[in-house]
Amino acid sequence: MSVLEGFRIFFGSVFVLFIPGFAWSYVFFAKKNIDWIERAALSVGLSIALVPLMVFWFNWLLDVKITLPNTSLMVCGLTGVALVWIWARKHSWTSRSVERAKLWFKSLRSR
Amino acid sequence: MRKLKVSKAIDFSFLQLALVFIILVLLKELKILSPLFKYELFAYVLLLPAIPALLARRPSEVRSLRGTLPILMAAFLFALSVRLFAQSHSSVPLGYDPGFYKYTMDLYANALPQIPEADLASWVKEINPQGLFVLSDTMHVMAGTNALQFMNYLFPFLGALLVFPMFVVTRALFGPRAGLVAAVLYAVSYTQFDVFTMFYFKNVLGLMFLLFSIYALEKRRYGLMAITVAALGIFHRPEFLLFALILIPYFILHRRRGIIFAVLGAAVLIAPFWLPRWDANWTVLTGTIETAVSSIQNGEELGGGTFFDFTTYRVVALAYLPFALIGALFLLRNRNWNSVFFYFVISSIIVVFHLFFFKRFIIPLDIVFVMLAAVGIDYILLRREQISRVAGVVIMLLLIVAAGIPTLDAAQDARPRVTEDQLQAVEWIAENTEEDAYVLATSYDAPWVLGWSERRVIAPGLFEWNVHNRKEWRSFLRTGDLEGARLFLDAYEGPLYIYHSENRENYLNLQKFQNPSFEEVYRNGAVVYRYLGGG
Repeated sequence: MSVLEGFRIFFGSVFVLFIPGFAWSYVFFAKKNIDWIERAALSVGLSIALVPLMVFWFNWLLDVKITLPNTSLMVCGLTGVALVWIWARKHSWTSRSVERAKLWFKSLRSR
Repeated sequence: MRKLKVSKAIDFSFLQLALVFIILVLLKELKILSPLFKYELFAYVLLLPAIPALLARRPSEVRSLRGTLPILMAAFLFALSVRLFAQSHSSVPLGYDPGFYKYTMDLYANALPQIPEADLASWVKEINPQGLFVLSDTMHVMAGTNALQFMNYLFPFLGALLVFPMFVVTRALFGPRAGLVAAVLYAVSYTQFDVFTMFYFKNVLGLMFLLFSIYALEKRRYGLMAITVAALGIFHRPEFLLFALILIPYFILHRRRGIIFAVLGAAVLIAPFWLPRWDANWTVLTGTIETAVSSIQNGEELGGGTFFDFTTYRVVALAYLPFALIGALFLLRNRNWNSVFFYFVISSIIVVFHLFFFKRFIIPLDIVFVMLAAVGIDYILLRREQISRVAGVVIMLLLIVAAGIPTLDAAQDARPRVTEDQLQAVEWIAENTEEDAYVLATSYDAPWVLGWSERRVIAPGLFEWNVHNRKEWRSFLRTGDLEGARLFLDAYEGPLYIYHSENRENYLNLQKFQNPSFEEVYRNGAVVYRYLGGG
């Protein structure tokens, strides 16, 4: 195995088996809720769970082929969704939206 | 006052007995004492003097522990080292299953950029859920790994990495000290090491997601639970079934609405994986139910799966077995009806009453035993003061050593089922025979021939190319008669080779091939014949 191959295996593995789960671990547990041992374990577990689920879903539903660019985009997208979620929660955008929705439902009922 | 004194005396006797027990186990593992003595009985006797201690409430809680990280890292490195050491004896993978995995991973990789769902044979669908192979495809595309690299690097790493989920889940439920003990016991567990030497890749992933599902359930993170349960369903169905069985009593008792949402979410996520395979999944499910019913009605021990039985388990897990039972009693005494309690009850019932797949269920049973042993050790040995606490720590350390010795021995002795020469003979077939050739092999050799020969493999009761039943195979394997063999082999049209490795457990009567209808084309550790046809 060449050095380049070794690099590809290492960084490819981190990209697939750690990063998406790491981002998603913040969706389920805020920074203060868990320590880094828990987060690291969850990151690997969530990545191994989410990546095949997403790759299979996109292939089955939208016929997205499993190629290097497509899969890279899918993994980036998966990580991106988590980041957007965290950002939205941080700016309490989601909770405000939920509040608005609740108010809207209440107003509907009162009518 | 007198009651207290009696209780203290019994508790002190427990410590002494526990010390004697663990020294005996240690001497047995070091092969100084006879292995024939019924040590299990001693383990059960040990429960009696533990009862007063179980009845007395002991203050527990250490909120955080110093030295957690170094101990966890040491456990992880130990688990990884023994696995890599066992693997280092030969370039041939350990266990029986690598050939099946390699074949299926190659099938998926060769079908890229698509998933070959429609083209898969029914046996592939029945034994291999898609999760692992979609992951291997993704790793192939992103990291450039082939099937062998994926298996050789990821499998030992994930097996060792389970130390962390063990710690995280046990800590979440029973405190940091129990978590740490569970992580260390997992690292030294012979049973979990045997999972590695048998190459049960999907099992390891199944255990990981089973632990995370329990974690998500207890932490009430239902979104996370939907994902981990879906992962269970696409990676390893027996553990999925186990978790489903755990959820039933848990939901009845706790009635949390979030569980329903998590289950619905998991069902949606799994749907595209399971729906195209509903017939294969249905066959597996009905087969499992039929086996369980037959086991209950007739007491037949059917469909146990390939792993050691519960009698052997009691011997290899002897060091922590009494403490696991103490841990279970601790949960009962505290009426702690959490998911680990139901996990313990359900997996014990499956294994002890031989319901279905009862040998393979020893693997998740060991996980819950390790967790409960950690609880038992924490409660009965470590929550003490002064001198008896020192004794408790000494007993725990001896216990870890005693549990680790069989694992180290097994790592030393681990050898693949075929030699490098025998695997080279299979690779010779890939390079020197016609692409449309069949290769006949015994069930011992079949996975290797399937994984490495790149040819259609005919083997007893395996794969889609076999057209004979069990009786016909038995007769073919035993006979030395040429005519019988010809009749059998003529059922296959096209070039045909016979592969046979020279291993003690591998039986095929080779006398029938000593005639002009067969040509010996390769011999080195294994023999390959070419069938020239009946003429």
